[in-house]
Amino acid sequence: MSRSLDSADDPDARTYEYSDSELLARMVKYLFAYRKIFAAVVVLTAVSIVVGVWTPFVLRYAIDVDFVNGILGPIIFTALLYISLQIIGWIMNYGSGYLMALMGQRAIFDIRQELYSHVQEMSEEFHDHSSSGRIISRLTNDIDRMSELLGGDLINSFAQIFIVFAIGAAMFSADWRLALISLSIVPILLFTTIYFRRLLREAYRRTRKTISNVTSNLAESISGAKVTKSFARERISAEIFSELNEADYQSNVDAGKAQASFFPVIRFISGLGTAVILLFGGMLMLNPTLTPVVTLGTIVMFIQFSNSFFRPILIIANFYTSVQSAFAGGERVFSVLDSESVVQDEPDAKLMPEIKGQVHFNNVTFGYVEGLLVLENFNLEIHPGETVAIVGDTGAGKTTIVSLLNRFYDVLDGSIEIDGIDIRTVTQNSLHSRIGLVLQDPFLFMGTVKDNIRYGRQDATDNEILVALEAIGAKRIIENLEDGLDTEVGERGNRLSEGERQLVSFARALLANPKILILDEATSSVDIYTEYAIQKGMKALLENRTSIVIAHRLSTIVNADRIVVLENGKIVESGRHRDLMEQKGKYYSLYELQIKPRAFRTPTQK
Amino acid sequence: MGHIRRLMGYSLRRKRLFLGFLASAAIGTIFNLLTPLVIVRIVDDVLDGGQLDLLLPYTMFYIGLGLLYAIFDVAGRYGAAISSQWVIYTLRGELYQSLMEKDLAFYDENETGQLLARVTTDVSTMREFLFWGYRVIFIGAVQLVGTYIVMWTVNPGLTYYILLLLPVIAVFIYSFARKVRPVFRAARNQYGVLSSVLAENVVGHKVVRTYASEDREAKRVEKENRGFLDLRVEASRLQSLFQPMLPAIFGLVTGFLIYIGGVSIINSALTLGEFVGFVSLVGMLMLPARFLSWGVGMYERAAAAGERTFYILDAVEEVMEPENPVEVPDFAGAVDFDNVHFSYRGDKEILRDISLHVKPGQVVALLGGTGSGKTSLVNLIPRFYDVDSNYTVKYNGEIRRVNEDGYVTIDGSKYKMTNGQVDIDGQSIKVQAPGTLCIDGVDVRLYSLNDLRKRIGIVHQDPFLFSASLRNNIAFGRPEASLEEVIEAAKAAMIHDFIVALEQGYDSEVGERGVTLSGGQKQRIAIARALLANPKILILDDSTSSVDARTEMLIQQALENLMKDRTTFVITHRLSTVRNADLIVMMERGRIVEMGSHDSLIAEEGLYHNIHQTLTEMELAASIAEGEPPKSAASNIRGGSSNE
Repeated sequence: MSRSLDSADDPDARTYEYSDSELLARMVKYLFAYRKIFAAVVVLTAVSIVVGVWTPFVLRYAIDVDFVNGILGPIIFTALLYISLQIIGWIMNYGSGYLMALMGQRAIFDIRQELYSHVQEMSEEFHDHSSSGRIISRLTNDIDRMSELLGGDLINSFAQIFIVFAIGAAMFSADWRLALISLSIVPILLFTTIYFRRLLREAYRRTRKTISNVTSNLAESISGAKVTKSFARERISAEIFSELNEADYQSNVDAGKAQASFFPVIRFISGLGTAVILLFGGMLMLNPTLTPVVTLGTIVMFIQFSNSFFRPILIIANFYTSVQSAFAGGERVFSVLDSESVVQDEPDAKLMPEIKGQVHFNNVTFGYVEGLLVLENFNLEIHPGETVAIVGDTGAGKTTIVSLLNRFYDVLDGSIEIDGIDIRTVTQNSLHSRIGLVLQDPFLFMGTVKDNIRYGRQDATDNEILVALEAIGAKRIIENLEDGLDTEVGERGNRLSEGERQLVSFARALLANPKILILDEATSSVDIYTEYAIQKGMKALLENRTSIVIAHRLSTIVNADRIVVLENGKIVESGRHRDLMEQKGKYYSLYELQIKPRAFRTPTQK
Repeated sequence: MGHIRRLMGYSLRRKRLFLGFLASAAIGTIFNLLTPLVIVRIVDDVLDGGQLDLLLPYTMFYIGLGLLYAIFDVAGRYGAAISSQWVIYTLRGELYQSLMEKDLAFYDENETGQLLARVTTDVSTMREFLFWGYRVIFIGAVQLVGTYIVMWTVNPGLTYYILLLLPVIAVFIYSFARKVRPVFRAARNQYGVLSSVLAENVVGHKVVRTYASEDREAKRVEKENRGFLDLRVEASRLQSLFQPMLPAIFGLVTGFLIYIGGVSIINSALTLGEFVGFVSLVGMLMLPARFLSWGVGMYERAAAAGERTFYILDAVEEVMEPENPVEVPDFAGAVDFDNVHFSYRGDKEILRDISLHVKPGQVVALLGGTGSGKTSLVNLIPRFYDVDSNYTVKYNGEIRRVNEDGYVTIDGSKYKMTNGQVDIDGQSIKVQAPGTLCIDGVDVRLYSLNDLRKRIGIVHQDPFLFSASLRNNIAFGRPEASLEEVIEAAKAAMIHDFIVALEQGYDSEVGERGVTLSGGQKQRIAIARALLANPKILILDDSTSSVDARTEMLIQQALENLMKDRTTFVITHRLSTVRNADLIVMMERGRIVEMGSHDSLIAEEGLYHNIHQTLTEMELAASIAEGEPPKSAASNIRGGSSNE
């Protein structure tokens, strides 16, 4: 349990559900959707590699031929050739860079669209089992981590291999002895890089740990500032922080040594390459007995080659490390894409017509996991316009009933019918548009109060909104908000209080005016003042429609046309409050233990 | 500008380290600049001049220069790492200190997440600048000037031509900064928009589904996604244009050099070695060009981050420690509000004209919706905020504030306050002195903050527990308390039994890695915490989420233990608590609209009466089944409520 949480916390952790080559192949598939662009990139990159290798030869020609001959015409020609190559190289690089980004970003766009619609189509089961934070990070960060790889790094890294071979071939074609000498530095370079990489990884791991301590202490201190202040304990907290802060300082300074040496050392080794070329090149050049003859231009050319040789090698050496993040992101994204929705529209699904609101659970059997049934041969008939309050202990199956009615899950056996129509024969979309759902924790979208109220009916007029608010008795509360109906609710409505959010969601449902309403009542209580408003709102909302309420509030329960008492997925009692109380059965004990204390503690009023 | 200078001020606190690493970086750069000179000599003396015996010494000299460069560069980097880390360490300490000293208005104005970002992400951005920025700008400048000097010593004639590069570099950096940065910023912003639309869709997927708005939402997502695609591609396009442009410019210069150099060699104004040296010197100019554009970006980011971070250090304290605090052994617990007004930093008034007198040991129940001001009212007592210190005038039933300059503004015209009154349209109105909040007859602003807060206990509705052991959480306000005292408090808070049932008892850790507590358990821990601190005045924000009957009883019992012999302000939804309070205060939009005991408020038949009635109805309706009141009574009540 804790292990899976940890691995979820570390965004670079891999599950190896997919192998590296699978991931790579799959990512490349998205790029191949843009075949023409891909071909253009290959051509442009090839030209730019040729230009890059050709350039030092031009310089050699200038030194060895033009300068020796001392004629102006050819010098001007060589200079112009050199300049032209630079300009062509620039254009090629620009073109390939742009096209790679275009292709890569389109691929990212496609992946994101695909994942979004996939997530949207996934059944409730998926959402129930994954925290929304994780799904969001799949859609945002995880996809984004593939962005650089697809937008250039992948093709670029691949191109480096050709660059290395092209330079190598050019060197050997020019002078095999100097080529061998130049390449003698490569193993040293590789070993040093590997050595430092290990050192740095260790150092980073330590600093990551200390900085995360600092950050979490800061987070806690800021969130708990009120408590710290109210107990006047600032000094002690500051001492604890100071310790963590110091540890972070120390670990970073330690890491600083390896960090500071890495690049200068690599550069020094590459400088050694130049020195070796100068030394051996010079000896070869000044010893005319050795053929072929080495010229000054060749030495200069080799220095240039060796300078441009190291970067590709470093990029190739680091390729595996640098793509790990993208691979981890890809793995997380693809695993969601590959999961399948349990509930799917029938191929010949029809649209749900206008309904009266008659609901019938017909011998329904259902369980979330195999072998553990939540409902077994469950039967319930609700008449149009009836208000049914469902009560029962946690786990009795209350939420399951409404989830099934919404077809968030499919029944294992039996059927659910609305006005005699099996809900599996209609599209999910049309089914949902007939059923209103008011959730325990009302979710509001960013925007104004007004935007949110008209969410289900975009064409509603201001007047209709006001009428709806009036009907649920929330007009006074909403008008008391800073900007009334135009008040921004903030992210997920966090600028409103829970009670206010609740009322807005009531108004939203009322305006959408569904024939069937499902209401999952909040268990948390609000202050008396808001409770009063909510009770009034509820009455208006339930009127004239079939309503199924997972009820916690006494007022709702008492006012319901029928109370259905659930126990272990079975209806054990059903009737009105008064009758059920007289039976002194399950309902009576639920009432005494839960419903009553929630509504008011020990009534002491005479 | 100012922010970077301020940041530099921190670096300069360790002047020798700071100047040392800069000097080291500069010296390393100079060694690097000398290497082309060796190449010039090798080409001219050895390769062209045939002095083979000089080849090895020259090469060794070349390697030596490279080694010195590496050594000084490492030293410069390491010094910069220490210096930057030290500045960050110091800055974080100061920020922490400052955060602890802030009044609550500050925490209300700034979201937790944003504050955290200011002390983490923004501080990291500054570290990047402290580590790279100085060196990059400094090395860039040294290398730029140094390369030209070295060129000059090699061949002044050719140097003139290369000097032409300077304006090109300047234009390059300028145009890059101007074009690319806004696009990158726009792309980043668009990413934020896209993320929040996606997040909304995930968190609110049930709502989207129930209102069958999938298509509308999908369109919204696609629109934002496409917007992001376009901006990202545009940003990459500009980058692809500019990134290879710099090497291309330098390549052009080399091409140009072939021509000029060729001509000079024909005229014997340049040797082959000097030409080769120039080729590598031109390459060296690339670094300053790259560094400067990089440095400018870093500088800007650090300045922006500095602005956000220093904001915390600079935020003005509204609540101040008195100069000569009044010392009292303990409070008796009398709390008096007299004509109190309150507004956040002089903005919209949150509380108006509050007068409330509470005797020691009394229980005050505060009622009201969100924004009614009940939380602000209790926050004034421990001085999380201070009462407004303006004079006020009551004109046409409205209360107006007299500003610091002694004027009051009504409908656009200003009136001066003289001799404790203001003349408005011939009418003389007495000025009301600033409101006060006193504990035991002494203004709260005269007690030391430490004493004041230690003697006031607060239990929040969603209590915040720290990631520490249960014992430490309970002893939070009195870390020196013995285990016996902690246990005693836990017993009174009805949480002892729960704690000892845990595997590690009082040493159990709270939080991610430890035990998970329910709301009711957290609340009782917080009650124990308050009990141990033993305050004379208690503030309870008791709007517990519903819990089962047993927990409810435990909490109730714990609260009763806690409230004993203390002046208590309670924000609650429990009807029983409200009924039993000595004083019920009904608030709406910052004012007290009704106040009195339960009986007197019921007799008044105001808002409290209505609310109370609605809730009592339920009680009655529910008790019907228990056979108490006759049917007719129930229907009467129901009829009454629908008239309402």
